[in-house]
Amino acid sequence: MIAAADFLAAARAVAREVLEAMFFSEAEPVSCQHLEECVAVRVGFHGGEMAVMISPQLAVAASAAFLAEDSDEVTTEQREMVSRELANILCGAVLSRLHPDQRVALRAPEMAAPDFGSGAAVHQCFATPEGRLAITARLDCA
Amino acid sequence: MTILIVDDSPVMRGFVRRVMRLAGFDQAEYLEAPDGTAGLEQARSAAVDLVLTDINMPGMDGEEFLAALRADEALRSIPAVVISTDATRDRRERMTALGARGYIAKPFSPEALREEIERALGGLS
Amino acid sequence: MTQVEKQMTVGVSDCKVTDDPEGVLITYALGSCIAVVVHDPAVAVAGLLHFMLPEASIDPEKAARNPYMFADTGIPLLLEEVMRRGAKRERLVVRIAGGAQALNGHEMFQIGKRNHLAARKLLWKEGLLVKSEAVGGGVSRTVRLEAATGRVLVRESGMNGAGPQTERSLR
Repeated sequence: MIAAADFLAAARAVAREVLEAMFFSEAEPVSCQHLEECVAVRVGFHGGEMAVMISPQLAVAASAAFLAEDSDEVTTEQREMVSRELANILCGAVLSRLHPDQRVALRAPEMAAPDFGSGAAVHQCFATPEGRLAITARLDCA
Repeated sequence: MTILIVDDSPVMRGFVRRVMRLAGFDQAEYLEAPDGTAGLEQARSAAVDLVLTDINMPGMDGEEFLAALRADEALRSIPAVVISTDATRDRRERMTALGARGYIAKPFSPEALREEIERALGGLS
Repeated sequence: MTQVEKQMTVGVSDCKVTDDPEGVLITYALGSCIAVVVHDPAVAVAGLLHFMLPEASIDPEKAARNPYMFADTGIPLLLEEVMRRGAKRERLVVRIAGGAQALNGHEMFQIGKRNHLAARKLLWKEGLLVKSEAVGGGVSRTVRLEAATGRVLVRESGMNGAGPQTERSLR
């Protein structure tokens, strides 16, 4: 069982690491605002489900950075694939940090409806220089 | 040299391939597979010199894949490096026990991946 | 330091390249700015870019007047210039230094870190991995590159000149 406070602390640490290492950006925790438009990805795991919502400009910028391409060359398909991988890495890293003595078992990331995370028990939002990112989770015992 | 990259994410395979090319393996031939089953098929039909594998994949996962490589006399000596979101101690120990020469947890910078590959291969390229 | 050394100073928002075996490129007072240092050991070609800001879109007019001010316009030019002198991309050894951060910074995204990330992003895009870096912290740096050997020396001191100075070779 994962406590909400532990999840949030892990999410904050992990988001910074992930964005810097592989997406060449920074994530600063901020208070949550509704993301009007976003790319949403859900990742299931034993004990709950996580969603990552990314503003469209950040999705393009992060994809371009990851793929080593110009922003205007990134296709919609590439943007979705990179967003899924970003969510996958965030979720795996959060779970590894929360339970370092247990194996991580994630379901394959899936695109989700943009309002997917709105009923979730736990949310942490981030500002990046290119846009916004939100990590939400439904934890089975939360 | 033939390098096999096994990961269900095509963009992650592309990222790893790019790092390997920039790290000095630009003359290598690259094979790719989205899961362990396809990875085994590739390893059985080509002379693979290095395997880079994820763990969490649909179908045959990376742990099952590595176990299958080790169980096959023709494939068991192929060096393998694990590239995974799973940074847990338990998984690392299991993959090392299955013969993985290297293990790097996502997220990693391109330079960190290069260092881990060089460390795992003892500087060969 | 040999007597026949030819020292060339690289200023802020500036870039210099040399194929002179006695050439030494040096840049001073790297605070939040970043120095990108490249060297091709096969032909002893060296280049050093000292940029201030991450993206030309911040000020396109300034970028048009001086592309070396920004990472995304300066780094491609640095690479073009060393390659014009005979360097090959696949042989280049790349290092970065700078990107210091103010200890009491109030901005959400400090410029030193943004510059560091911009340098890494551009180099990844240009197909180059970074060999080593001396970045961050609250220190001012001086960087010196020897064209003959590719040796990079980094001197670090407190931001206002206070505190001890350290010097090391960046491997």
